Amino acid sequence: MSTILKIINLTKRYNDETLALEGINLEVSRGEFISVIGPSGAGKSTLLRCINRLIEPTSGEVIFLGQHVEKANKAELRKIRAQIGMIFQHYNLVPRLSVLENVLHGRLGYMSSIKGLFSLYSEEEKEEAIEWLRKVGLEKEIFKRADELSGGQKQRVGICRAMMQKPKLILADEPIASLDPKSAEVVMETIYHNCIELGIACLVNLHQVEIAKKYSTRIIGIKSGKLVFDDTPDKLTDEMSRFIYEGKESEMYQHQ
Amino acid sequence: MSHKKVTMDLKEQKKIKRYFSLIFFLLIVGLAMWYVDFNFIELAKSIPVFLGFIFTDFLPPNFSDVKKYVGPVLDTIFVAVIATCVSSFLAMILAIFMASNTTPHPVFRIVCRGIVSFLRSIPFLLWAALLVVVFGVGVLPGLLGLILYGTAFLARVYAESVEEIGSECTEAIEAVGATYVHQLKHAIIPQFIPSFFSWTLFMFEINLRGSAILGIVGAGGIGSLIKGTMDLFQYSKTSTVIMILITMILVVEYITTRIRERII
Ligand SMILES: Nc1ncnc2c1ncn2[C@@H]1O[C@H](COP(=O)(O)OP(=O)(O)OP(=O)(O)O)[C@@H](O)[C@H]1O
Ligand SMILES: [Mg+2]
Repeated sequence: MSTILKIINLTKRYNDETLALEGINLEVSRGEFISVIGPSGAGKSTLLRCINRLIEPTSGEVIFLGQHVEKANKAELRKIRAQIGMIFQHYNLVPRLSVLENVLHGRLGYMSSIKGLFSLYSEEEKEEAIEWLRKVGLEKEIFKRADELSGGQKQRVGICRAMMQKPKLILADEPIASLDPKSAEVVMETIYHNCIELGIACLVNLHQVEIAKKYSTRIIGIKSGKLVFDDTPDKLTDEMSRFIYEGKESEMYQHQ
Repeated sequence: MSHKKVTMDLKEQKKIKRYFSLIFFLLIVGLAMWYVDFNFIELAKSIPVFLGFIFTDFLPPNFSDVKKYVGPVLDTIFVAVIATCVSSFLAMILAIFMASNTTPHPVFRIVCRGIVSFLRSIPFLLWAALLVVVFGVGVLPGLLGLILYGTAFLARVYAESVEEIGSECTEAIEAVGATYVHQLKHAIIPQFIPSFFSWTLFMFEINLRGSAILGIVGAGGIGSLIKGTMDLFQYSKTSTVIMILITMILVVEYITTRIRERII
């Protein structure tokens, strides 16, 4: 198995006070589907955002496909980000643009400023975007404005946008936390099956242990910024879950 | 001290503060009235004089020179149109430099804010009066005055609207590896469009009124007609000009309202 991502001794400190991540070590291989669990404030979002440097790590190394992300300059960082898809809790679509345009945004990382400025997407890219929308069951919504969609539909658009990047890695920060159980399942299935099918490595932040167990090839537990569990789902005992969520047990089942 | 007691005290303090503010405000108003010699009785007494002036001198309107008014009326409208277009363009650039979420560098933000505050602090009529000295009597100084003030006004309100756009869309665009230009084009601009139109149309209405009084400082348009006829005591002609002005403003307001409904 080839290594996609390697994190060495990653630490993140906010405002010289909050230690959000402390000495995280992690290696992600091709085709792995990893759930990151942990209570609110544990540092899950910080971990994901340090990987593509939406948040600057304080110290440590992040190596993506053999390249040091933390040392990358602007142009290099763009190339790295282009190959890492991201899915957000609040979908983060541009509300006033069409569904198709939002999906095509996935290609911007590969385009020059000028090309992107005039939205010069190629015909193949447009066809691919439509193909992805069809695949997630949104063929009727292609020309609708993004803010006209339901939450579950928006998240599927978010998935298409990430897939358009032809990513090697997908980071999903609580992709189902704002959805009802039915839409949540559709979204999880869509992310899971496409990642497995295309061999895309995936890191998903989740609140619910049950869902993490159902979908992962591997589970990581984070507690107060430290990695306290890293193993296959069957090794995550109830005892272990309780330890990870110590003091915040209610969050394990709660739908946030 | 119990928790309840503390909140009670806070409430009491707020109440006292409010009374002090009210008394202070009334004192200021009273002082101002005394200082400028404002007097309700005199105001009431002057109403009949004013009405007499309107009905004997202003009415009925005299339409004999209507043809001569066409040029200045068009000047007024076109000055407002050009001033609005130019200042919305300049203001857009300034706003992107000024807004905290789009500024290329904090230094741009500070410099642009400084320029805008300076321009805004000088009323457009004063700009026009100063520029008349430089460029001579005509449309140009008025136009420039409106552009200077309008740019500063729009830059500020545009920047505020841009800052209200949530970080969510820009964050997603950033995460796919897009450039700064991409973020502006694909996240900021689409979300900014409704406020852009709304504020620009508002500016046009303001500019039209502004453009109409520029003539008073010698900067052309309808204002010069108002001043010219009044200087010759031809008040019945003045009233014709004012009626044209009112009609023009109402028509434009009707049109901008319709456009707003369409777009937003
Ligand atoms: N921008 C920030 N500035 C300062 N502190 C922050 C910032 N973002 C996060 N933190 C702090 O860092 C810690 C980790 O936050 P993070 O958002 O990564 O947690 P999380 O596991 O994603 O929680 P949640 O499940 O609520 O999303 C928290 O204590 C939080 O208060
Ligand atoms: Mg989070």
